[in-house]
Amino acid sequence: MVKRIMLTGDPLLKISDLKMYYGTERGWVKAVDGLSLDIYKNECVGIVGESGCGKSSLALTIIRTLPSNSKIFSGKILFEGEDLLNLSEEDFRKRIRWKKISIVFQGAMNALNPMITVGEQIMETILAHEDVTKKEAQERTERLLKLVGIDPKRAKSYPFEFSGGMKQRAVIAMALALKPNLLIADEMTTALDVIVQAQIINLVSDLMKSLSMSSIIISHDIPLVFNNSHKVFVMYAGKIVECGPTEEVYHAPMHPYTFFLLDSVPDIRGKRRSLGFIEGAPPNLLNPPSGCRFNPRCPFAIGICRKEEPELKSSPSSVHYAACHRVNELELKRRV
Amino acid sequence: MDNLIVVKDLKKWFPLRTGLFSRTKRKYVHAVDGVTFSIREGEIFCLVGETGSGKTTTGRLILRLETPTSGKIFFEGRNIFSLNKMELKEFRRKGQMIFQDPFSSLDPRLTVFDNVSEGLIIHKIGNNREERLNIVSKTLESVGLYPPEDFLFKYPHELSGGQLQRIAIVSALVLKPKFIVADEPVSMLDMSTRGAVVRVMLNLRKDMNLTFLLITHDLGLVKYIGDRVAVMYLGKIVEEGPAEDLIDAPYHPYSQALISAVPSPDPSKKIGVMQIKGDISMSLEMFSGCKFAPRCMLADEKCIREEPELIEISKGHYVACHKAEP
Repeated sequence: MVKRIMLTGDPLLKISDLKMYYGTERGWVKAVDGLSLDIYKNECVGIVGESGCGKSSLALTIIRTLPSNSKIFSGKILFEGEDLLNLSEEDFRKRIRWKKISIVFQGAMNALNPMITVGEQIMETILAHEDVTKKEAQERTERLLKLVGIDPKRAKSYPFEFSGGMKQRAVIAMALALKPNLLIADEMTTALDVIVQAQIINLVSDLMKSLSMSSIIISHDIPLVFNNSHKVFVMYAGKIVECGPTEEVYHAPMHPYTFFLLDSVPDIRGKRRSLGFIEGAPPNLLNPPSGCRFNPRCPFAIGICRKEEPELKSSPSSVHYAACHRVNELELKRRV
Repeated sequence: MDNLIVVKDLKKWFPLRTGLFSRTKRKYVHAVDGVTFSIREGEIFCLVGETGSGKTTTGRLILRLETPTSGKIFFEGRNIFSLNKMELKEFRRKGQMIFQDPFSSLDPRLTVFDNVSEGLIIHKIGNNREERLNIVSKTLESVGLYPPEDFLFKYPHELSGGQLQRIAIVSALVLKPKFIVADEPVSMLDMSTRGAVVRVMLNLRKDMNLTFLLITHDLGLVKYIGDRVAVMYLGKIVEEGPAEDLIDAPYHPYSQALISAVPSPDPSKKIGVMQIKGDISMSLEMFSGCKFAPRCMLADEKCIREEPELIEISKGHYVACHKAEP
């Protein structure tokens, strides 16, 4: 149950003009290309986009688990006022990763060590980062398991004795073990069945409230993101094309890409209508089109769209932004 | 509309591996455990359910890609398990399948044309390369891949997922099938391109009166394009009815839980409160009653003891639940 909340003070995480490219034999793949976003305390932010738009690369950049062929060309990632990009790997591992920012990804449940009990793996995380006795770590593990809805007695079970949903819960318990301020959920429930997905999403949103944590939900599943975030960022080809309060973006999208994307999503609680679609495919990020990256697929594209790259411009409400040259002339009316 | 396919008390049990000298009785997974339904000509019949509910096995059985443990399947009035060689070949042409992953259902070393024409050669359609080229080109146009020359000699890696899935549909279509089993045909595709594949399916149904069995976990899609839908739980159909009607107002507690768990893209429409306990593993123990009973909030002693039958609760809408009331 997400309600709009008032946000004051400095953002918890502030990313500005981040550029992260992957080096390949054929050149740089511009996975994250000049991206800015803010996340406040207690806020749940959604990032949506199709495969290959750079949303997971963004998560990996924040948590610093990028492959060796990646390079950060510019930008800042301010977390509680400190630029994470300036920290040494050692410092980042000790102070930030898992302690302040943790991540759960799609296949995370498969990353559990099959030879060690689930409880021991969670304890290991606590013991590696904090100076506590084994007994304390054990007690905390039991509390964590209870928190994510697993019977603490199951701490002695091995991962293969757990179902997919339970393993994912165990991984969430691990991610919460050091009481982080920010949880990144990258396709956290994608491999799970819909009932289990709903249980886990409800769990995470309850935990966010009780632990006063912020979160970033990254997914290609538009209903999931739109139903569980205060603010949403729409990514296309390495860039943010639109962002704003989720309700406003849903009912009154400003960017043609967001508009057509939402038109292609069926609403199980809506009226039956024909499904829209966008012709073509997202661009190759080795060599993205000049101007607006959506222009080859956009029915509204005009001369300037092919030449100049549009900047994010705000709407009259000043909390809703879109990067489109024609944002003020287009009348995008949603079919619902 | 006439029934094109009739499925009667279909069962498929897979044996579980046991030790070589094991003395315990052989155990089975009841993947499909007595399902009965029929598919009318020219409709999109949907099978929905979670992983392990038996929906894919049912689809494979209908195309005779598996042999059932028991039960019958009639296609155009003939039992598909007692066809002679010639009839079987004809059946293999009339019933086609589209798989979830278009990247692996096409041969990466063959061009689009060579991929598609394999089926034509096997079924001796088109006398020479030129004729086959003509057939494939026309079919490419019919699924919106225009102009066909741009696609004929491309390799699969040069095309996007949405295009590949349409080419997989083309490979089925050139054989002039009557019936297509589409197993999660759009779930691997990006949201923005799913609509194109869906539109192709709807056009084929309209123009060629093609019949579809759509196997999916995407209930939103079912609501938008399905005619009728059957909800499966652990190898059984627990509810069956007109797609929109069933999704808007399900009777069975399992269908209710499943449908209420699906998020709507509209942030103001929240997911429902789920009246369900535990997970699917709770229902794996064998007992005589309703398989959903261990997870059901409404279950009583009768539900554990006696298996409910599918009964018609409103016009064309069937439910297998002791507690269902119209």
